[in-house]
Amino acid sequence: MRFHLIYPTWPKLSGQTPFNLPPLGVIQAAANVPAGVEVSVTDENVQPIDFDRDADLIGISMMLSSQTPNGYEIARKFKARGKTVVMGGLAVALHEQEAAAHADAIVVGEGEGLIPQMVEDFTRGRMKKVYRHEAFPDISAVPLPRRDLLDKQQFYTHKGWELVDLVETSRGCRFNCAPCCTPFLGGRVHRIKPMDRVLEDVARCSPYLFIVDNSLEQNLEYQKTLFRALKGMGKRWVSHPISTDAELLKLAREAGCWYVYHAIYTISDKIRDRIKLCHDHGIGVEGTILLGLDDHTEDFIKRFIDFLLTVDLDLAEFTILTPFPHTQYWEQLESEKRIFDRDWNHYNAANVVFRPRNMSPETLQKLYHLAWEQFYAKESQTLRMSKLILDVLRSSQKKRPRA
Amino acid sequence: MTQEEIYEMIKYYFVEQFEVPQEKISFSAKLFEELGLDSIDALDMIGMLEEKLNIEIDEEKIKNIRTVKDVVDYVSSIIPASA
Ligand code: B12
Ligand code: SF4
Repeated sequence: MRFHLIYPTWPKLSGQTPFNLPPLGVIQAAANVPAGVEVSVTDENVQPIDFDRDADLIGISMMLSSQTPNGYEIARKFKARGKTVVMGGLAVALHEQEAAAHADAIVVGEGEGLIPQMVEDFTRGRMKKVYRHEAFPDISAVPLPRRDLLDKQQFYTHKGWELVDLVETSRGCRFNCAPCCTPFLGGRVHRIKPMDRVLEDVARCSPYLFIVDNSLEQNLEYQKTLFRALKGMGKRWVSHPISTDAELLKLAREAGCWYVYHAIYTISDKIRDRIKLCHDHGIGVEGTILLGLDDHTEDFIKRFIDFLLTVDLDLAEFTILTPFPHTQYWEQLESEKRIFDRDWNHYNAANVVFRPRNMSPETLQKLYHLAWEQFYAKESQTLRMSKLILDVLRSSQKKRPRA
Repeated sequence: MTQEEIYEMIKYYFVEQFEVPQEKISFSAKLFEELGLDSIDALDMIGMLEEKLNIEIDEEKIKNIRTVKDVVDYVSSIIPASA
C-alpha cells in the first residue's frame, strides 16, 4: 500500500523570503504511518504535484487557514481521478466541517494514535469519515518525525546554507491569549516530550533550528532543563518568546539561542528593558507586532511605530489582527458581526478582514504598510537579517558558504 | 581607486556572482528591491569587498546602504585614493 502526503502552497506575502522551510506536520504525520506502508511526501512549495502518481491513498496536510482553499482544490483533482483523500493538520482541526466536505476522511487534531487506525481501516475497506481523540494522546509516545522523507539538499538550502529545521519539544499552553488558537488545538496543559527523544531528533537536524513550541515561556523549569540539554550540541536556534530573566538568558545563549520572537502589544519601557537584557546576553529579538486591536487608534499606531524604532529591535514583523477560527477574537468579532471577509486566502495576517473599532478597514490596511515601510526605512530588512547571520558566522567561526 | 573603478568592480561582481542582468545595474539602482539581493548576497558582497580591497567593513557603518551608489561612496570613503 502506498500513502502519498501533500503539503499545499498558500498565498505568500509580498517581500517574503524566496526560500521555504522544511515542513514538520507532514513528516510528523508520516512517522505515525504503520511499518509496511510505503510513504512519500510532496511539498508543493518546492516541487509540483504529480496528480497521476501511483498511490492508493492521498493525504493532504494543512497547517494554515490560508492553505485550505488550495488544499481543497488539490483534493478535488485527486478525487476526480478516483483517489481516496484524507486530510489532517492544524487547519483541519480549525475548519473541520469544511474539510470534511472536501475529503473522504479527516483526522482531527494530533495524528498520534489516529493515523495508524485510519490507515488500517483504509486497507480493510472500512475507513470512517472522521477520526478524533477523546483525550490528547500520550506525548511520550510521539514518534520522531520522518526527516528522511524530505530532500533537504535539493529543496531546503539557500545559496549554500542549510535552512533551519523545525523541531517540536512540547505541545499545549496553559495561557489563553485572545488571538491564539493553541489552547484549542493543543490544550491548556503544557505536555513535554521525553528529553532523550528530543535530543535524538535535534542531533539529526540542521545546525540551525526553529523550535516551534508555542510557548516555552510558560514553564521556567522546563526551559532550564531544555537549554542545559541543548548546550554543547552545536546548534543555533530561533524560538517563540522565552523568559527574560538573566540566569535563563545565559543558559539560552549557551544552548545556542540565536534570536527570539517577542510579541509587542503596547508602548512600555519594560519592552525596552527586555530587549536590552536579551542583547546583553547575545540574543537577538524579532518583535512580532499585532495591529488593529480594539484600543488601537490611528494616532496610537503611528506613535507605536515611532516607539518601536527606538527600542533596538533586530527585526520586526507587523501583522494585522486576524480572527482565526477557534480564537477568542473570532468569537468576539463574530458575535459583534464585524467580520466581513471569509475568504481564507486572505487570512494570512496581512489583510484586514474585520471592521476595526477605531478606524476604517482601509486605514488599518494603510497603517500596516506604513509600519513595514517606516520600520525598515533607514536600515533595510535585508541588512538587518545579514547582521543576524553574521552573528552566527562569528560565533561558529564559520566561513560564508560561498566565500 | 576612483569611484568609477569601484563601480565597475561591483558591477562585474553583481553580474558574475549574483547573475544580475547588466542593464539593470546603475548608480541609483536599489540593491534589495531592484537588483534582488538578499541577506546572504549582502554578506557575500561585504566578504568580496573585504577580500579584494583588503579592508575591514564595519557593519554598523553600512546599515543605511540602499543603492549601488551608497556602496561606492562607502568604499571610496574608507580606501585611500591610491589603493
Ligand atoms: C512552523 C510554523 C510556521 C512556519 C511554517 C513553515 C513550514 N514550512 O511549514 C512559517 C514561519 C512559514 C509560518 C508562517 C505563518 N504562520 Co505559522 N506556525 C508555525 C507553528 C509554530 C508550528 C507548526 C508545526 O510545525 N507544528 C508541529 C507539528 C508536528 O504539528 P501539526 O502540524 O499539527 O501536525 C500534527 C497533526 O496536525 C497531524 N497532521 C499534520 N498533517 C497531517 C496530514 C494528514 C493527512 C493527517 C492524517 C494528519 C496530519 O499529525 C501531526 C502529528 O500529530 C504553528 C504553531 C504551532 N506550534 O503549532 C504556527 C501557526 C500554524 N501559524 C499561524 C500563523 C497565524 C501564521 C501566519 C499566517 C502569520 C504569522 N506571521 O505567524 C504566517 C503565514 C503568513 C504567510 N502567508 O506566509 C497560526 C495558524 C493560524 C491559522 N488558522 O492559519 C499558528 C497555529 C500559530 C498560532 N498559535 O496562532 N508558520
Ligand atoms: S500566544 Fe503563546 S502564550 Fe498565548 S496562548 Fe498562544 S501559545 Fe500560549
